[in-house]
Parts: sequence; structure tokens; C-alpha cells
Amino acid sequence: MLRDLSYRYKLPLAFIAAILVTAIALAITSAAKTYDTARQQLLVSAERVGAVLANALVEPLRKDAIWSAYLTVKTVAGANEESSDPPVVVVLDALGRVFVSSEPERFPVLSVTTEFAEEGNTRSGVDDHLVVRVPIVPEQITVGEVILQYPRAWLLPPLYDIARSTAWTTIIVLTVLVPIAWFWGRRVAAPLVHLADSMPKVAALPAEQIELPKVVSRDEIGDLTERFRSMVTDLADKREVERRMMTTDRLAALGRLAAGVAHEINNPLGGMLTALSTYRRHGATTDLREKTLSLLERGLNQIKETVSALLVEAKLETHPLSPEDIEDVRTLILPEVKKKHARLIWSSDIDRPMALPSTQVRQVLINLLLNATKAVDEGGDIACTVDRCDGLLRITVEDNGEPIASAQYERLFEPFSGQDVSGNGLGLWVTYQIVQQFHGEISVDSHPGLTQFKVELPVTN
Amino acid sequence: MGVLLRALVVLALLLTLAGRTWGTETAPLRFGTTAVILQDRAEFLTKWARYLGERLGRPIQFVQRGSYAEVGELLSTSQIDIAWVCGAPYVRNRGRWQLVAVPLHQGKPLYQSYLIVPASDTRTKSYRDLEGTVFAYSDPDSNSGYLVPQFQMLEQGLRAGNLFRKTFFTWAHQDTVKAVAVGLAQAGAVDGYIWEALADIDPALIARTRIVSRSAWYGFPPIVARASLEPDLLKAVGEVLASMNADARGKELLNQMRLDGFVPGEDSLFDGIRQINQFVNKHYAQGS
Repeated sequence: MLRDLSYRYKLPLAFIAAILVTAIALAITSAAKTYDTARQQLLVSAERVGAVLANALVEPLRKDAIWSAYLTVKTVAGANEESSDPPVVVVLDALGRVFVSSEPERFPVLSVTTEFAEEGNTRSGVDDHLVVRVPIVPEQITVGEVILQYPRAWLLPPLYDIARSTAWTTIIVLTVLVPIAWFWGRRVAAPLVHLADSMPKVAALPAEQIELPKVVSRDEIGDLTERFRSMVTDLADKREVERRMMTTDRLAALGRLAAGVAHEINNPLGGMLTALSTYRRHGATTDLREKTLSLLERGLNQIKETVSALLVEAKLETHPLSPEDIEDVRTLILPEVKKKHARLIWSSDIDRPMALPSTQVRQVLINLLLNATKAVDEGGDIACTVDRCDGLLRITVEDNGEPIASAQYERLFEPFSGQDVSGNGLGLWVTYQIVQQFHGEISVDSHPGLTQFKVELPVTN
Repeated sequence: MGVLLRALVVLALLLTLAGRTWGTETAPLRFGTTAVILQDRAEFLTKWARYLGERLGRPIQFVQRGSYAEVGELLSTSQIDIAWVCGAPYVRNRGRWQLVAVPLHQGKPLYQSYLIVPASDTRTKSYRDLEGTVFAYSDPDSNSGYLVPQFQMLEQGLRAGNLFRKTFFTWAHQDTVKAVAVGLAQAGAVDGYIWEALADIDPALIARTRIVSRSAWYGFPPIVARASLEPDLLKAVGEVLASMNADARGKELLNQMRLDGFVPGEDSLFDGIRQINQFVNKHYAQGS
């Protein structure tokens, strides 16, 4: 939670927290000091009072004048009658029994109290009290003892004062420092925030449109800013190089395509021109005319086929894809598979018509299966899975033939790439065009033992 | 020279005469008080002194001392003229002190001694239950605060010396009530009149005490005069006191004392005290 907070807030908050911690630490220290001083003062004054009392009680003790002794101790205890917790005065006789006390019900006359039993310790803390014991020693003979017990709560008011004054000082200091902390924190955080804001733009905008943060210091943030600036510049350079490479690639592919098309058309053209030349030289025999015309027809048809294969048409008249279409493809491909003594593992969960053009899907399926059949070794395995999931029609065709060579890989979907030994390479080109036209995706994964083509076509509702 | 000398002699003579006249006529009547009435009431005594002085045609000077014995001694040696004393010293000083007046409390010139304990003590029923306690007396010369409890204990076959763990004197009935209320003493004997008056003045204090028993009725502490006081003055003081309830100021002062008035009183009122005094004296004299 706090970790995710922006540095804009984190820094001022940390600053304020430091002030508070300091104030609390100071308050605790001075409170401890005050408490100790107040305790010392109370003990000193208690000892003084005890000494005066001890002196005043010599006569009443000697004469057993309890009432007069009571009035004397009451003047000490009762002087603080206002406070809810007055000090307790207990006077013990020579035998350690209570002679008189300011609270006779708690410490009855002649009773023995163990509450203050602390040998050889004149100052002791009993529960929440400070205890001072002063012996009554007229003429070197101890005749009794005065015990004064002050509640510790008496030491608290100075502590409250400390707490109050510390609180006020802290509030005043905070009032002054919080705006400063806020301003300072934001200033320190600003380059970081600027960096953080600029980073996402790097991917989205061209380098010229990114407002680069300025290097204002030589610390880590300055360092980071410097690196960011050089990174953006490098990135822009790299993009330029990539762009040029892409252009080069595109031109190369175009060249290959042109060469392929020229080759495909040139072949029948050569034959046809030769036939025409022969026809002209040997004259118009019926036999030769027929032969020439048929050759011309075949040659033109071949050119037509080539051209129509290149122009994959999306808007063919077609019906929705049905389970029978899938089954037809299986029937069509089975003789090819059997020729290679391969095994076809077939799986389809298409059980009702789908909103996809059957002709194109069939073409894709046939192309992929023919390729697999071509690639598989004698007695190999071919697997075809057609299923639907998440609004997609998914076609997976796998074989365990030789994997696709890495050189082939790059130009797999290019027509006339010259890679295909057994065909013109138009099958995958057509497949790719169809998949693109239906906004689907095609992917290839090939490694020893398994080559997988996967096609996903979104089903329109 | 001759004229001056003559003038001086005349002046001296005049001063002497004037001094004597002033001295005899305005010498204050010294009135000793003890703890038989509520103490710490300087304002009341001032008012009462002014009232009595005006009625008597002579200033009144109140004299207070710490114990009954001191006031008694002052009276016996004519250092004061009249005193409000306890019945016990009165019967013991028969012939030396003259009876001036006896106060009326609740219509009678009589009062009782109360045995009191702290209100928290709900168990004690008589002296017999007070064994091993600390007991508060008021004054060794007090009737209600010392003599009566001595008598009552002896009557029940008890002796103070064995019964209590400790005893002490507070030198005032009021303080005996306080000592019992705060628990300094577990019991005490007080003047019933003082206890009742305190119940009116300081109910919170009285609420902390409980009356265990009330004694028989005895003569109320009387106002007495030194034996040598002139009969006219004796009579005049007695009449001024007896007529206090006849005027508003006097009534107000009596009300402040929680008294109904003063009567001349008979010596026989104090026969009860005399009897118990003799009983106690005889008992200890025999050593039984």
C-alpha cells in the first residue's frame, strides 16, 4: 500500500514522519528527565516534612497523646485535602506498631502494618507510591518512625505539561516544516516522476515527440536521466536501422515474387512461342493446327491457374461450414495418406453448422493436410483436430515427418520462394491469405518428431 | 510656680479618681468556658459577650483553656469570675463554687452520655463488645465523657484498664466524635447534647458514627461562680441568663447553642453525678 505510493507523497511523508519521531523521542527523553527531577524533589520535600513531623511528634509520643498527634499528622496529610489522593502519614512507636496515622481506618492504632516493611531502605516504591521513612530520634534513642507515602500520581502533572508543550512545539514546527517538506519532496521527486511519465511514451511515440527530462544533478537520479536520454536516442537510431532493413526485405521479397511469377508464366510462354513458330514454319496441316491450339490452350490455362492461385478471392459463393464438410475433406485426403502407408488420426467436435465459409475452411484444411502428407515419412503419423472453443474454430494438423528446415522457415508463407522441392509453394500462401482475410491466426511449430500447424478462425455470430 | 504645682496636684487627683471609677465600673467579668459547649466558635462568643455585657452593664471577657482542670483552677483561685463547667468538677468543688444557672436542653436541665462507635461497626451492643479496642474519652474531669463510662463499666463488672487495649483523651466532646468517626478510636463516650448539636451542624460527621447506648439523665453542665463573687453580681448574672429567652437576640443566641434557656437550678440536680462519683471513688479506693 505505502510501497506503491508515488515518491511525490512518499518523500514529504517520510520527512514529516522523521520530525514526528524526533519530537516523540525528545518528549520521552525530557519526560523521563522531568519525572526523575520531580521524584527527587518530592523525596527531598517529603524528607523535610518527615523531619519536621518527627520533631513535632516527640512530645505526643512521649505523652501518648494520640489526638494531638493525629491533629499534627492531619495537618500534613490534610494540607492536600483538595487532591483526590492525599499523602498518607503513618507514625510507628518504638515497637513498630502504629501510634497514629492520617488514615486510622487503613492503619488502626496499635496495629502492625507490613505495607512498608523494607529494611534499611528509607526510600522505596510501594506499588504506585513513593515512601519516605524518617526515624524519630530525640537524644540518640529511637522512639518511633514517621512514614510518608506519596502517590506517584503526584509526579504526573509535570509530565502532562511536558506532553502538552511538546505537542504544541511539534504542531508549530510541523506547520512551518510541512509546506517546506512538501515543496522539497516534490522537487526531489520531480525528475523521477518525469522519468516515470516519459518511459511509457517511448514505445508509443516517436523519439522527437518525447519531452526528455533535463539532467539537473550529478546524483543517481541525474545519472538515470542521462542514461534514459541516451537510451531514447539509441532506440530512435535502432528504429531507423530496422525501418531500412524492412524496406530492403520487402523489396527482396517483392523481387522473389516477381521472379517466381515470371518463371511460372515464362515456362508455358516458351512452349507456346515454340509451338507457334513450328506452326508457322510447317504450314497449316490439320493435325499440327489441332496440336498447336491444344498446346496453346493448355499453356494459357496453366497461366490462368497460376494467376488465380495468386488472387485468393474471399467473396466466393459458399455455404456455412457443416460437419459434412469436415468429413468430406477426410474422405478426399485418405487416398493420399494411404499411398504413403501413413496413419491419419482424426478428431472433430463440429456437430452443427458454423458461421464460417465452408469453401475457404475446406481449402485451408486440405492444404495443411496435403502438406503434412507430403512431409510425413512412409508409415508415419498424421493427426488432425478440429474443435471449437471461446468463439474460435481451431484446426491443428500435426505430422512426425522431417522438421521444417530453418532456411525454409523464414519464407514459409511466401509464394514461389523456391524452397519447395515438390510444388510452387502456393498452398501455404493461399492458406495464409484466407486466414488473414478472416482475421484469424496461423502459427507453426516445428522440431524433430513433430511439426504442428495451428489455425484459429473467429466465428462471427 | 505655685499655680503650676497646684494645677498638677489637682490633675493628679482627678486622674486617680477617674482611674478608680473607670476601673471599678468597667472591669470585665471574666467568663471561663470549657468544651461543654461547642468550641471554635469565636464569632458566637463575641456576640454573646456583647449581649451579656450590654444586659449586665459590664463587659464580658471569655477565657478559654485546654482542659476542664485548668478552667477549674482559674475559678478556684479567683482568676476568673464565672465559668461554664461540667457537673463532675462542680460536685467535687462543692462549697468553693456557687451555682449561677443551669441550661435547658430540650426543655430540661438534664443531659445524657452517649456511647458511640463508627457507623461501620454494626456489631457492638455494649461495653462488653469493646474488648481490645482503642477508646476515646473527652476529659478526665468530664462527667459524660469520662465519669459516666467509668460507672457504666463498673456496673457491668468491667474495668477500663483491662477492657481496652488503649485509651486517650481528646479534650473536647467534638473531637471525640471526630476520633470515632475517622476510626482513630473504635468507640468513645460523648456529651449527648454536643452529639445532637453536631447532628444539626455537621450531619456528615455524625452520619459516620452510631450511638450504642444512652446513659441515665444527669444535671446539665452548669454555669458557676467563684465563691467570693458578690451576691448582687451573682444574682444579676443569673437573671440576665434566665431572661435570655425573653428577647429575640437572646433567643437567636440560645438557638445557636441549641439550648432552650437558662434556669437558676437546684444543687440537687447534680445528685445523680454525686452518686456515681462516690460509687466510682469508693470502688477504686477499696481496690476491688
